[in-house]
Amino acid sequence: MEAGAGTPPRSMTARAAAGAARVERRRRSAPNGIWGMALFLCSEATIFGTLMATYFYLDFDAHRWPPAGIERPTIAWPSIATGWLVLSMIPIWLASRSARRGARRLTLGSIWVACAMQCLYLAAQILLFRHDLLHFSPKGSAYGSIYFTMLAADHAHVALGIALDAALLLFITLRGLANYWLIGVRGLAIYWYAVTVITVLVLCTQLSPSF
Amino acid sequence: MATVITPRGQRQVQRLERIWIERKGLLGWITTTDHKRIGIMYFFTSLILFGAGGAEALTIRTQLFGPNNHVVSPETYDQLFTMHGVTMIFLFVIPMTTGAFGNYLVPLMIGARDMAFPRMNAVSYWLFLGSAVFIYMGLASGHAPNAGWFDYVPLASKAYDPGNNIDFYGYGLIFNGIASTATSINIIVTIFKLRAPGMSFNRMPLFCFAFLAVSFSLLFALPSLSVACLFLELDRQLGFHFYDAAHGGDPLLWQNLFWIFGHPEVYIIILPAFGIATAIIPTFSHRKMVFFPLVALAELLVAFLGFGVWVHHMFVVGYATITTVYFAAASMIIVIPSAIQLFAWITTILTGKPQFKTPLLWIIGFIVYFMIGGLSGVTVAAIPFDQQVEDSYYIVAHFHFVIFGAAVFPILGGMYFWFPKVTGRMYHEGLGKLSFWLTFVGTFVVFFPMHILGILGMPRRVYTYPPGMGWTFINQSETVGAFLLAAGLLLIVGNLTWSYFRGAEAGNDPWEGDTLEWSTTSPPPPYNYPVIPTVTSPYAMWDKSDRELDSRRLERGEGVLQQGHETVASTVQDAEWDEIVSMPPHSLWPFLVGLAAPGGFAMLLLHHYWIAAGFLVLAGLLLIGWHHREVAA
Amino acid sequence: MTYRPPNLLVWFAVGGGAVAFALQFVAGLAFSFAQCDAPPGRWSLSVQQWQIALAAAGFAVGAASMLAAIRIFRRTFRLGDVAGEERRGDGSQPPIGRIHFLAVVGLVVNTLVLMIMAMDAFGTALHGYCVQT
Repeated sequence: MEAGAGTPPRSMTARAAAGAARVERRRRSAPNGIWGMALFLCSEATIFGTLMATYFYLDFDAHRWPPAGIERPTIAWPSIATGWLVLSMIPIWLASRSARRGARRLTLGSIWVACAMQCLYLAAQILLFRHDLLHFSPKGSAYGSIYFTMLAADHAHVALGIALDAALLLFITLRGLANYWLIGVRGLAIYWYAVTVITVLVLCTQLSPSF
Repeated sequence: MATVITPRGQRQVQRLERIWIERKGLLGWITTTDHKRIGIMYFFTSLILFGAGGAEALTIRTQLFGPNNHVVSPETYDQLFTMHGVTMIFLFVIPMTTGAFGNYLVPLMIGARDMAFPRMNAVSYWLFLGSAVFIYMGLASGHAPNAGWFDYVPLASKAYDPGNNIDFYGYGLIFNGIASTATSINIIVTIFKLRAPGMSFNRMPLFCFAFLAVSFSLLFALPSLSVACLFLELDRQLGFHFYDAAHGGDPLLWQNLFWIFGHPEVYIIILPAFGIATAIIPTFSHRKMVFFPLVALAELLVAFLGFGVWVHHMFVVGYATITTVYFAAASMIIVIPSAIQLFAWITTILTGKPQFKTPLLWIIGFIVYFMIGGLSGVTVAAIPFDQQVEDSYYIVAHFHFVIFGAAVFPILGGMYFWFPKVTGRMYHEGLGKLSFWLTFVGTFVVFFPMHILGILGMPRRVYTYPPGMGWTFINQSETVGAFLLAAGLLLIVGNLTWSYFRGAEAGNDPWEGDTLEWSTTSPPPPYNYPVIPTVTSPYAMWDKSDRELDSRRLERGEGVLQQGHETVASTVQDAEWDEIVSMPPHSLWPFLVGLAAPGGFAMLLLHHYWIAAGFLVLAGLLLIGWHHREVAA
Repeated sequence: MTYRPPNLLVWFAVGGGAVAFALQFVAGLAFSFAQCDAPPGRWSLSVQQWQIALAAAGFAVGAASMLAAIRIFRRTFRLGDVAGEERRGDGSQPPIGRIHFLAVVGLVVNTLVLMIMAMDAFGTALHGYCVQT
């Protein structure tokens, strides 16, 4: 142990939930992993900003938008699905809060609930995606190309989030809520908050011709 | 450390040496997560690619030596100028600056023991190497990208370029972008969180400010390129219509997306050069940088304003003037932060006691070329003038002055400046100065006449030209200049290679440098510093009392952090010590992920989409394996 | 007692002009792309009026941000008069020197963005509607 009063904690030695929670309480600054996730999300948000800007760029260039022969998108089902995703942020928030307090079981339970809700959301969106594909094609027009690409990108990020849920469930079950996994849960939470906000914006873009 | 280490201090150091011992041999390099080793790998890889890009350039200049030449076929010529641009920008300048200089020097300058995410650092390198091999497979197979480094549609669309050439470009740049994004995240978090206690932002070296600006620019600019390339490949492979006007798409969409990336990209190229200049100038002028805070602010402002000027590359596409004036205005104003920095550099040299050693000569060359290139940039910010010279050699002159003269010169100067630190040897000063003058004169002879050539009407990217246009003599001079330039560059390689084996011993601090890396041994040990330094001024190495304090702390065992691969994590603003974090030691996972990625992209190229998806799943499993054991203390 | 501006004022002085510029830039471009590059009859926007109004609004916000920066700069100018603890910062309060530097940042950034917005306003006012001159 180093000489000198008030030496900051060795965060990686906190292998148990209680120890990790103590380290968390002592921190004055977000850990490296959270910064890394936040910056990664800046990049992803920029990707979606580009996709949405492309949508409106092509919209402005078009005679009609959507083109003739394609109906305006329905508002109801996509909005309900997105609302469900927003609701799944409650267990996600609970998971993050529980992890910071060292409550391993509550953390695991919250992630399970969130994961189930997100899987249901993704299943619904895949059905809606297939339904749209039956009516128009990404190969038929620029509208179809950007519509399906933007939605596919969003669903891919939701799928990635579900994979992250699963990975954290596995590791916390096997290894306990060590400091490393506590940071993982916090990172997961901010990932989902960002993806949810992006999904809402994508929804608004998708439905913009119908407003 | 500058002061003598006592036996008690030696025992602390020996314990650190045992903890941080590096694996030997090839396996050591493949599994390394040490930022210095990764920086060296980036250095040599990008240097080899610089040679490739240079060979392409010399072939181009040979082809253009005389009118109606047939040194290479027109198809090969298209591939050459495209690969020259792609190589120099994506495979040389960015990896050399952020990957080599950034990786090696940023942790050292901030007093850290490694980057924030050492394994991600390693995977960035392997992904960069994979992307370079992927793109050059195109050249090797005779299908190199051939629509210019900015690859405009509809020329790059399937209808006009049905082969695989453009797919090497599209997939290759997405692949390369992943590596650069990972590096930029790593640099930002390292700078924010791993600074030595006391190194608040106002005490951070200007080199680190420049790399912070570069990293933020990369983070926000690369997505636009990735999306553009994604759209291109969806159009080409699956028949989508993003760029197809007949189905509601727009070819100008590609140009907009490309240049939204492309203009910040040129500031990404130049900002590390600013950082290297701000490291070399105070050292060889023996005075502090004039207007230090304004220089730091100017570096960040250039990065911010650089996102608002992209359509100045598109003044001739037919946009209404009420659209293009936005970009003309921003393009004029962005000169001001650059000018602030120029003023600060020149004033620092003039008011100091300059020692005109080789590194400072390169920086003076950089200042000259940056001024001239910047002035030609101001001229093309004026819409009417740009509309006359667009796609002519005037533009080629402008960007080679700023990219070669202003971005590469500091890289070469930085190589000389930090050579003693990295290798522990001094280079030959006489050969260093000769290499500078050869390169400086060669650069001028090859690129300055291009301004005149452009105004005389020679378009760019032409395979040859007819006699009697008044272009022949200028082209011939430029070709001679190119070979002179190449000779200068080869002399640098020769000098540094010879010096590596035969140079005099350098010691810790041959230059009396002002930043922390000069306080440790040459080359630095794997743990960088036996004691995490304390910092109370922006010129840490010129603050002798702090360095003596570090020696006394080593004696007492304070801040040595010997319970594993450890370093300090601090608060963001004021760098107050917050926690002790563990760095992962060697790891094979990054290399394995780096192997899976090119496999996936190759399968996409060959239209085996399910197999490509399999590689993606494999990469995901490897990432799970990567994290299977939390980093040990 | 040393003058300490509210945090919100400092943020506004540093970033208000930059944010106003960014919004004016994006909105002005959106209007001109929509009207000038769309097929005839798709939109009927008074593009130049909108662009001038956006530039004026952005300029107004930028000017307010500049004034805030000037005020903070002048009120934190004489650091020598400030007591040691206040100069260094106490707990969560930033040091006065940092606030002063942020005011300098505001002055520089706002000068640049105000110039760009002024040039944008003149440029859009003086050129023909949706033509390349």
